[in-house]
This record gives sequence, structure tokens and C-alpha cells, in this order.
Amino acid sequence: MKRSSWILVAAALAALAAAQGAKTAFRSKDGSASLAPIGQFRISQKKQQLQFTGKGPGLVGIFNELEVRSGQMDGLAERVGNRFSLLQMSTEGATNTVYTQAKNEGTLTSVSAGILYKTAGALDTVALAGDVTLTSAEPVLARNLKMVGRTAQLSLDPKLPGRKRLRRAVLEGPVKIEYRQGAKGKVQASTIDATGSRLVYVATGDRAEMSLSGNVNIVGDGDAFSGTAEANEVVVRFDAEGLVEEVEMKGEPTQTLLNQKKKGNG
Amino acid sequence: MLALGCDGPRNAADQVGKGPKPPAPRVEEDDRSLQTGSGEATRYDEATSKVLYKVRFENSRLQFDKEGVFGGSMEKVSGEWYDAQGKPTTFRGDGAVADKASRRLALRGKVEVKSAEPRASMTAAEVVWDSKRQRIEAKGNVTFENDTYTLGPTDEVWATPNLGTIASPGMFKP
Repeated sequence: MKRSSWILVAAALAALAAAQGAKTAFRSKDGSASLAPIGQFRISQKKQQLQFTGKGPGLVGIFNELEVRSGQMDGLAERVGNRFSLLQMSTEGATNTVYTQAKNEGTLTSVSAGILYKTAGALDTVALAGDVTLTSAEPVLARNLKMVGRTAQLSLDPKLPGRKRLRRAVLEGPVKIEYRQGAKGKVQASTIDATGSRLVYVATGDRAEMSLSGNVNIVGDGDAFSGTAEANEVVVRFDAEGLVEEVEMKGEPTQTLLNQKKKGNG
Repeated sequence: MLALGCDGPRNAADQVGKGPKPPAPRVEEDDRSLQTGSGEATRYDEATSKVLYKVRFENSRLQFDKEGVFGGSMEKVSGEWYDAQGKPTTFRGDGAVADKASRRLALRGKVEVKSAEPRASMTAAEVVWDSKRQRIEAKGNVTFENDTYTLGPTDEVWATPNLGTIASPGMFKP
């Protein structure tokens, strides 16, 4: 690229940055929340409660670790002492959400047509509407788990990082999972792909269990499961490290081509 | 010091006579147009006699009708307006124009509006207090701050009299 072209690009980037900097921003005084760039807005505060609506292309809402991108956000927050505390937030239209992005523990994200996020008690709840993709990515461990469905209900523990934050997920179908574990140290590469009508993911401590039901088709290639199967229900169990340790078929399998392996046998 | 009470149960002449030795206003084009030094003017609601706003100024050029309703321009202003419950919100600015008919007070130049309950402040290049609609209309590099959050800068904000609700004009509802 010629020098003059570089100058033009640099000037354009500087102009873009200046334009973005001039956009309206909402920021909580405690630094935990922001909404920007806002095109249209309404904010109403009565006593300690604050109700807000923000609209605009490229709108990003940040509430502690929660990061939401959507064209419209409506929320309710509470002021507790000097702290800004989000009670509820909903979006309209395509929504990308990052629930946690811990450096070593990985990220938990979703793509949906809208969310309703509520904080209540120890667990936060999220209702995801539209075509939903929920992804747990752990690049440090070369692992990726994707859950796809029409709708989803999540329970999250905001005190836990990465994959562990997801305590429960119910996806209504048709549903699909994609599990990818790359070779990493002593861990062998493995994959699982499955489809069904419903998916329930439940975490207990550091372990988790994922149940797919309703005309389940599963294909796997790895230590814990290798082969293909069709069943009424399939349960995938994860160990405390997040590795698939067992795949169990339940009900009456209609067709099975299974090569189940003991972990570590290769 | 000139003190003027307008559009209320007392007329302008009453207030001028009761002021603490004000400088005699200079009569210009007719007997209802005044150019003054520092003073204070109060605008009342015709129907309820409630105070809509009070303005203190360093210089002014005001007009009065037979009922004492005033309008005109003022320099170096400060004062307060009152919501329907009579709670005040204070303001200051480089200048202001009061409109007799619409009851609007238009502030300009480094305008600052402050509310005590809830505690909040707003700055802008121009602010209009529309007492009929009980609405603040701020324009030009508007910034807002209260105990919980900050907003801005933005081009235009409408707000309730006490700054409890702020919004883009298209999304404003009291």
C-alpha cells in the first residue's frame, strides 16, 4: 500500500474513532455498568430503582462480566449503597451475549433473537428466544461445546467462572450439540455430534450431565464414545475437568453402531 | 435591585414599589417596556397563581402587558422553576428569554440545571423550561449526572422538572 493510502486509512480510522467517541454513553458511577453508543434512550429513576431503555445500532451493554450486544435493551437496576445492581434486562432483535470471559476458564456465550436476563437470589436466570446457540469455549483446553435449539432457559452462578457458571440449561428443539476436544497433553482429540428434540444440561459441583431426548441421533469419535446411535434418550456425562467420560443410551435404541471405549484405552 | 412579580395576584407595579430602593427603570418605547440592571422576576400561573419560575438577572430588557405578564431577555441568569407539587429545580446560564404567551423560559450559554430531590444535574448549551408541559428541553452537548449514573454528551435530552426522568425527545414520557 502506498504511503498516501496509509495516511487516508489512518485519517478514516481517526475520524471513525472520533465519531464513536462522540456517541452518547450511559455509565454507572461505580463503573460496573455502561450502555453505548446510545441512539435513543429513556432513563427514569425513582428512589433507588432505575429503569432504562437504550436503542441504536451497535449498542453494547456491560454489567459486570455480562456483555450484551443488541439493537434495543430495556432494563431495571437498583442502587444499593454506592453499587449499581442489575435486576433485569431484556433485548429485542438479534442478541449476542457474553456471560463470562475468564482468561483460563474460558467463555460462555449465546446468540439468540432476544434475551430476558434476571438476577434473583444466588442464581441468575436467562430466557433465550429465537434460534439459540449457546457456546462454552475453553481455548486453553482446546475444547468447545455448542448447544443449539429453538429456545433456551439458563441458570447461571455469577460467582463461578467459565464453563462452571452454567448450572442448568434447557433447550427445546429441535436441538443439536457439537462437542470438540482437541488433542492437548495427555488428552486425546474427540468429537460428539448429536441431534434430538430436547436437551437438558445440569451441573453438579464441577461435573455435569447432558440429556438429549426425542429421536436422538449421536455420532462420536473419542475415548468415551466412538460410533453412531439412535435412541430415545442419550446422556453425556462430563467429568470435573469438562471431559466427556461416559455416553449412555436410554430407552429402546432403534439402531446402534457403537464402539464404546474405556477412558484411556485409546 | 429590581423585583418584579408578574402574571399573578400582584402586578409589576406593586412589586417595583416594594423593592429595596431599586434604580428607576428606564422607560423606552412605551410604558410597558423596561431596560433594567440586576433584578428578579417571578412568573405565576394565571389560573392557579402558583409560581412557575423565578429568574434573577444582572441586566434585562423586559416587556409587560396590562396584567403584568412579562417577557423579554435577561443576562447572567439564575433562579428556579417549580414542578406541579411546588418543588424547585435551580438553574443558571449566560442568558434567558422569557416568552409571555407560551410561559416558556429559554436559557442559553453554559446552562446548568440542578435538582435536589432526586439529586441530579444537567449541563447544556441551551435549555428550555416549558412550564405548560412541565418539561425541560436541553440541546447542545448535553451531559447528565446523578448519584447513580452519568449520561452524555448527547445532542438533545428532554426531562421531567426534577430530572427524575430523562429521554431522547422521541422516547420521552413523564
